[in-house]
Amino acid sequence: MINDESIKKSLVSVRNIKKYFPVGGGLISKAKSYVHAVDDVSLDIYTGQTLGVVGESGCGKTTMGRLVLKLLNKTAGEIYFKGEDIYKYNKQQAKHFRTKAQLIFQDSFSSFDSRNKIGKIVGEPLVVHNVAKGQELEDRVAGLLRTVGLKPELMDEYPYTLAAGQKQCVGVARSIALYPEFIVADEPISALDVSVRAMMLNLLKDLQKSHNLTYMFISHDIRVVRWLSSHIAIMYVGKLVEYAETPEVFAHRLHPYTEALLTAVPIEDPTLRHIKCEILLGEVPSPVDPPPGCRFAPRCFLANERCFKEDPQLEERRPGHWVACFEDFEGQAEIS
Amino acid sequence: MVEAAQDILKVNGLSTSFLLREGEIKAVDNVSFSLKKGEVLALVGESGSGKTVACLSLLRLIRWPPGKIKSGEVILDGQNLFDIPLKDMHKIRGLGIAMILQEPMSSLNPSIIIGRQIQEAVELNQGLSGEEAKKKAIEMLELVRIPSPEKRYYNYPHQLSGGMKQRIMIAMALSCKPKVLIADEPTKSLDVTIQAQILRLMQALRNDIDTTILFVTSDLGIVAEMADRVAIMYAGQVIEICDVFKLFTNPAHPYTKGIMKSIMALKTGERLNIISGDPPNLMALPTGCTFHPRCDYCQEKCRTEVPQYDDISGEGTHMVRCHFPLGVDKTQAEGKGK
Repeated sequence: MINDESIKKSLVSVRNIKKYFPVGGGLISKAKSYVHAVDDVSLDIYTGQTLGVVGESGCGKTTMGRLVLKLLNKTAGEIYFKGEDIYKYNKQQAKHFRTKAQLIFQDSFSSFDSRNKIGKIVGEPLVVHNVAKGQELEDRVAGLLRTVGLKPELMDEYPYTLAAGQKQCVGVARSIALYPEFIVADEPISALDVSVRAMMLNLLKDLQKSHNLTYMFISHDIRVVRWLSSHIAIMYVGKLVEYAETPEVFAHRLHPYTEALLTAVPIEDPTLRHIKCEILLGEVPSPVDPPPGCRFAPRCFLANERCFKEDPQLEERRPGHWVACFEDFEGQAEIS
Repeated sequence: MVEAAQDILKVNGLSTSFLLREGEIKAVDNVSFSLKKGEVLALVGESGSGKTVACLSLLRLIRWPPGKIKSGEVILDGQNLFDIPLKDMHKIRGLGIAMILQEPMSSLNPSIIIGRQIQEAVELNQGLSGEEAKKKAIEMLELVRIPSPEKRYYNYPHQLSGGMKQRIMIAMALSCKPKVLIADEPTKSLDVTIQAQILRLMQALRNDIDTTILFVTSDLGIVAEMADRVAIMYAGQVIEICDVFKLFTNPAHPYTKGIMKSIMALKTGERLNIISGDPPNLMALPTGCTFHPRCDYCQEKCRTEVPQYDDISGEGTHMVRCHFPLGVDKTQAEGKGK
C-alpha cells in the first residue's frame, strides 16, 4: 500500500517526488525548458528488502537513486527515511543520515582517489565521521576487506593494481564501513564480466542477510534484478509505470511497457528463440517538456485517444500490484 | 546442418602478440576456427580474452609496434589473407570481410552526412559513382529499416539515436556484400528494447541475403538467440567449440560449465555459482592449462601440461582444450587423444 500509513512502516518512502533539470538559460535568463527526469513517483521500500529499479537509459533511475540519498535537490514531493522527511533535516541530522544511507557506484574505480592506498580509501568514511583512528581504524579496515572477501594485505596497494571485480569489492567495503541501513546500488555490476558478476551478486545478497541491509538496486538488466530484488519498480521517461513484488511482476505484467521490456531480453535457451515475436518499435522519447498524456503512448500498441490526452495515475489493480495504465492489459507472452 | 556447405573462412593457429617493454602479451594464442557459408558463429569470452584482437587480426588491422601477428593463416574462400601484400588488403576489407564495431558513435565521422559515408564505401568497393551510388546508399538505409531513408540520407550522426547509428554501421558493412561479416558486440551500448530491434534485424538480414556472421559477444542470451555454433575464448585461446544446443546442454570445459551454471541460477533465484579467482593476467599466464588455478577439477597434469585441442564428439563438431573434459569418460578421451 502506498499511503500515509506506510510511511511509518517502511524504511524509505517516496511521495510524489519530482526532479526537473533546466535546459538552456543562464545566470540572468530563465531556463526555456525542463528535463522531466523524475516526475511524480511514489513508492515504499521496507527494511531488509530490495527494490529493483529497472528501465532504459534516460528513464530517470539514476536521478531517483540520487534523490533518495539527498544528493540532489528535489523539485517537489517528499522523501521519508524512518518516517522523517530527509529534505527537512537540520545539519546534524543530515550528517547522521549520511552514515545510514550509502551509495555503490557503477564504476567504483573512478570514484577512488587514485593516489590513495586501498586502506585509506576504505577507512575514509570512518575518519570523516570520527568513528575510529590509529590501530582501531586499521583493524576495522582489515575486517571490512575480509567481509567483502578480499585479503587485508590489499590495504597497502593502490587501486590501479586491482582487478575489476576487486575494485568493485573495495567500493562495497567502503559503503558498508559505517554500518548503513540503506544502500543505493547504481548499476554496480554492469561493467563486470560474467564470472566476476556472480561473485559480486552473491556478496550483495550475503551482506544483506548479515547486516540487515535494505537495497535500492538500479539496473537495466532485468535478469539480475529478478534474482536479487524482492520488489520491482519499472520506470519509463521519469514515470513509475509498474510496481509490485518480483514474482508478481513476472507472473502478471499489467503494463504494456513491462511486457515489451521483459520480452526484449534474450533468453539463455537456444530452443526458445523468441525475439522473433512482437517487439517494441521506435525509440525512447525525449524527457524534455514531454507532451501531456501517457509517455509510453507513442510506442504503445494499445494506445487510444485518451492515452494521448490524460496522464494515467498509479493505481492498485491487484493486491500490492500498482500500475499506471488506462487499459486492462495483462501480458501473455511466455518468459522463462 | 548442411553437409555440403564449405568453409568460407578458415582460421588456423592464429597467434597475435603485443610486445611491450614489460614483456609479451599473448592476446591471441593459437586460435583455430572455421565458418561455413550462411552460418553464425558466436565468439564468446570475457573482456581481455582476445575476442576483438582475434577479429582485428583477421583483417590485419593490428598496428606494429606493439602488436604483431606471429603465426597462423586466415583462409577466405581459398585465399590466404596473410600472403597478400598489406597494401592490397583494402580490397579484402569491406568486400571480403566487413566489420561492425562496438561503438557506432566513435566510428562515424561527425562532420559528414551519413548517406555520404555509406556512399563512400559503395564507391570505393563497388566502383559505382554519382547518382547510382546515392541510390545504392538509400537502398541500404531501407534495408536496415531506417524510416524515410531519402530524408535520413542528409542527417549528420548526431541527429540519430544510438540504435539508428548502429543500423548505419550495419548498412555500411553490408553495402559491399561481404563474404563474412564480423559483428563485434554490436549491441553492447544499447538498451534492451533497441538491442532486440538490432538482433531481429540481423536475423532477418541473415535469412534474406544469406550473410555469414562472426558474432562477438559476452552475453550468452544473445548467443542462444543468434548463433549456430559457439567458440568460447579464455586467456587468448579458444577452449571450446560446439553447436549452440550442445553448449547449453552439455558444455565440456569446466570454465564453460561454470559460466553456464551461474547464468542458469539467475532464473531460479539460487545462490550463484562462482568461478573462484580472478581473470588471468596475460603478462604472466599460469603454466599448463591457463584455467587451472580457477578450475574445480584441476589435477597435477593440468598444472604442468598444456592441453591440446581434442575432438570429443569424434565428428569434429565438439572441440575442447582440456585434459579432463566433463561428461567424457577419461580413458576413452585419452584413447582418442592418441
